[in-house]
Amino acid sequence: MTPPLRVSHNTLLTQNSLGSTISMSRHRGWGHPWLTEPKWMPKKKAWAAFVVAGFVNGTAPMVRTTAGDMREANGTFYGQLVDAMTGAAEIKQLAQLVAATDDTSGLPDKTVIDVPLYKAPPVSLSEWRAIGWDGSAAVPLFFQDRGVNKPKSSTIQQGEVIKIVAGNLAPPPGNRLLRACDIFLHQPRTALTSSLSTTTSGMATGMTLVTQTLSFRPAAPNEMLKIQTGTFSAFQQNSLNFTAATNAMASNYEEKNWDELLVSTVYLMSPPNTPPGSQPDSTWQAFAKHNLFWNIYWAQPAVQPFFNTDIFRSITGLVSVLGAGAGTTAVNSITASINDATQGALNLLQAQSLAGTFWTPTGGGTTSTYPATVAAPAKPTLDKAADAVAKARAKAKLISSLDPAFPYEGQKFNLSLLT
Amino acid sequence: MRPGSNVLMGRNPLGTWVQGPGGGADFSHPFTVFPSSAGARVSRGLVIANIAVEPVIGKVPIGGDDKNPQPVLNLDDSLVDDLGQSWVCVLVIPNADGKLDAKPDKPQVTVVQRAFPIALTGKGGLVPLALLLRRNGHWQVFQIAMFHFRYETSQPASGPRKHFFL
Repeated sequence: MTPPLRVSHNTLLTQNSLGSTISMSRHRGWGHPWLTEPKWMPKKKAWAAFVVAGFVNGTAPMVRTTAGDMREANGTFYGQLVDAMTGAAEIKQLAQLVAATDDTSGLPDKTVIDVPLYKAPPVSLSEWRAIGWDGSAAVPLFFQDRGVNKPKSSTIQQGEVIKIVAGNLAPPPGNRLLRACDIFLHQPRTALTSSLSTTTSGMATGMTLVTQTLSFRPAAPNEMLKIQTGTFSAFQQNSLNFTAATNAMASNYEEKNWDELLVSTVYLMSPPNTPPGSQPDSTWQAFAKHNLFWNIYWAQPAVQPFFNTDIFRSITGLVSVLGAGAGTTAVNSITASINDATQGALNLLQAQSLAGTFWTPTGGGTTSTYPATVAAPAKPTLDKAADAVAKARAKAKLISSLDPAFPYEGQKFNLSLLT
Repeated sequence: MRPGSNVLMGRNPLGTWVQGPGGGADFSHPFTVFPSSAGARVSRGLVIANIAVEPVIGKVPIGGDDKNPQPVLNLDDSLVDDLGQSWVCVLVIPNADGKLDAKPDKPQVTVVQRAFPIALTGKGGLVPLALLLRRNGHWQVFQIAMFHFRYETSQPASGPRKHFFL
């Protein structure tokens, strides 16, 4: 007797009165690292993203999730908290978590666990920001062509609550709402700190002594390379944590002791005529726009315990103090040169910043392009009809996808790291 | 039995055959790591410094040469970190001037297995090609390197040599 036919991965077997039918999933092609796929999780009634494993310095970032979400995501986690891919540290962590509960048959749904990205954990998406008619940010052309209208000026968002504060304009017919949530990398690092003290040396001289002390703050003990969600800030992408507007002389200053880099942005587009202020549900359509396409590397400047600057030397000279284990620099300046000193202090902070850099190895050096992705614009011809068609096709290509075409660009290398 | 979506089905004297779309990568790139029961093979790739060098396993270039087949890197099951992870890496040890020699006495660019993925300072630079996880008695591979590497190194006035793979 022939054993019954069984299905394996990516295969569907159906039976009806005509007999059995076997179907297979279509080959999806190559998926680049960090490829983000939003999915609705029915049990949790929330959106989550699944990200193809990407690596920073060869290490996969961790995703903080719950045992319940993992079970719902892959269906096999329950009872199999430890599998062949689980390492000793994870087993120890899980054993501690299980020991802390009365129920040893499995972890409670709400138990928080950290899972490496290569195990395909669900990245929970909850902090949606409103874009479009009931939001404030500009609407990408891609979505404008799909029925999302530009923002009405009289709406504000307070946390997860969206309020219409003025005006009673009705949404345009067929209006779609748009929500966005960023997924970004969080890389802990050592940070620079600056503290200032001011002393007056005496009425006779009229001099004020400003002392700026630089020191270093390590990453928090339990910090790790991880995936975070929410709204990614532009200054984080810049990796410089302060701007020219920062008054370094005004108060003590601490760099953030982490670097962050945008991985992708998940957009949710509502069905037509959804009331403004609605929260996303399973009827919304999901899209992902990627910022990262390749595995990346990260490094930060070496800690330099002593720094000399001509700006300060020209004022009163530089006094340097080397502390135990950490380098500090003390700077004196006179009151009349306080503006120079302010700029000098800022320069000192910027020169000493320990902000890290992410880059993609291209094999070509510092460039991030393989090869040039910007095609030369087509020259106009005498055939105006053909030109119009070409222009329309170019526009259609531009708006048909949120992502650039392959080969994707990478992150540029910061040459100052070589010095 | 009838074919559904994405399925070709046929019969021959040996029985019924079913054919579907293949999975896997369709992006061929340098430094692809192929594990096997014997170890790991690595497709041809270059480390480009003052000269372009193909890494070696033993003394044989990773893509093989006229006299030798593609070499195999023996994998050590015990060479894993706390999370059970192991890496196939390229190790570059330049000469005292930070250059790669055309005919070195000892290989300067080699493929190795390590329980940590990267080293950007020290005598040699280490860059990962793939992450390996032991699964059901086999190595599961997560490819990391997808391009040739440009290698740059600098020697600060004080401290260890820096290595960068660009």
